[in-house]
Amino acid sequence: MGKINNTANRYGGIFLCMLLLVPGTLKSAQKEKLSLEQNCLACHEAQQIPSEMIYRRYLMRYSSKKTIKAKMFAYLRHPSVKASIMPPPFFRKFPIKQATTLDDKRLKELIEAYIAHYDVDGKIIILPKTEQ
Amino acid sequence: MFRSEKKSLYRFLSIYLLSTFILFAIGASIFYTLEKHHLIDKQRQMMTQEAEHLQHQLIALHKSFAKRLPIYIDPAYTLTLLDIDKSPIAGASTLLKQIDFTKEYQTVNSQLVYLKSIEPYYLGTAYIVLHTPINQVGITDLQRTILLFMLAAGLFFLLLGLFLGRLFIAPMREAIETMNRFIQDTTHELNTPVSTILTNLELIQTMRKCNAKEEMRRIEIASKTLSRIYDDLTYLKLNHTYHRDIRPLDLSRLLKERIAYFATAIEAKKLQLDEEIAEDVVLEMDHDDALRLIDNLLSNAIKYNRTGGKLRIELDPARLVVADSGVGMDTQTLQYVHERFRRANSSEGGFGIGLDIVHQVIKAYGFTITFSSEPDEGTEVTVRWEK
Repeated sequence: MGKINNTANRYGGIFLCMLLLVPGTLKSAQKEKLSLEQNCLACHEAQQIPSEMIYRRYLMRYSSKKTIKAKMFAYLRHPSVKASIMPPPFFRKFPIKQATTLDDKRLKELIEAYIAHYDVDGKIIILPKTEQ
Repeated sequence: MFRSEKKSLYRFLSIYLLSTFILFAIGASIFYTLEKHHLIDKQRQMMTQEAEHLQHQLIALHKSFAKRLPIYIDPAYTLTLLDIDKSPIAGASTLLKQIDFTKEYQTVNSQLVYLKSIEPYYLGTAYIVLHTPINQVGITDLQRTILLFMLAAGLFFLLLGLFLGRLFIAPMREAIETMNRFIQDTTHELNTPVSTILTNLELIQTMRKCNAKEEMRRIEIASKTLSRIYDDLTYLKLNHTYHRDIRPLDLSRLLKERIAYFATAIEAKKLQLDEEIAEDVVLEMDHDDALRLIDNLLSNAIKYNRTGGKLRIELDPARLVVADSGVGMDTQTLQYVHERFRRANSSEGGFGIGLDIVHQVIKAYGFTITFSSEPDEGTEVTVRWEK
């Protein structure tokens, strides 16, 4: 009987932790998204910069998330046509941005949030041809 | 069919079938390997086509910004999309850890794996990994077909071999038949005069007084030798149609009778006879077989003995030993001494059929025979019936 009570207590404890952690995690993700919208997307949307298409170009050229993060960081820290993923004609319509004033840690967090927002992970679904 | 004819046919058939089998086995093995590769190549080709199709879908989806990016695949395959760091983008194959990324095609855990590298990396995909179980049904069908073909070919070649074998041994059969006819005719012609000589010789010896005793003894030995040759030839001729009348036989008594029969010959060669014959040794045996066995062993021991030599005859419940102190044989001669028409020594007359008959009897009853011989010292023949 005592053993059953112990098990029940243990699972009760885990459930309680999950109840406390999940809203915390969700809150953190929402906070990051809000920060991304304020720091990056607000401007992108105002200037009609095709953010998702830019990310697809990164994907098509580098494939690796690690490399994409490094290339984005390098560009945002020292923006130039050469460091950009976009072709030179793109900058005729969209002027090159100023170097970011965000610190490295914050910038990396925002890049992570940007990738998480536009990434194809979870969007690609493999289906049998019969469902086509 | 004659014994030698059968032996030749079996030898021919075994060589013919074995060589044919080896040839077919090599052929079937090559065919199987090629066909198996062909089946796997076919699967690979289909996988390649499927991967091409998937690549086209990726190109199309790369331009789509929808919330869901569906990729349609043949249900026979399992798909995993990997980025350049080999991290899964979609799907997660359990074989990933075992895949060698330097090979385009490979087999992992009975699964055929196809790895397609693509560039540029549409949707970040650097590798399309497709895998499917190897088509075992096709391979099993192939194995069954080959096995059936081998069986059918085996049967066909067995029949062909039998036909060819009979064709090849036909001249041999004719030769044996001619010889048998000759033996039959000779024995038939020999029987009456030999019997007449022996009967009349006995009559002269018992009823009339004859001064030429030495000459009479020689005639008796010669006639008995002729009579024994006649018996051997008849035995050989009838051998393949011979029905044995097996019943308890007093071997001790028969052996003594035959020693008495050969007494004149033993005496003529001045042999020192040493007999150790146990009483009442009874064997389940045909009378004629026992007679031919004893007669041939005694006859050889007398014939190939030296004048004034020794003749030792032992009989106990387990064995019969006949030993002489004659010309003997070397090891090489001992190997073929039992073959028909073989004569270990041409110094004496005979057809070379004696030990062939002895071996036939030994074989028929499951006895064992051993020869112990030294050139110029003599030969000891031991026949054992108790294992």
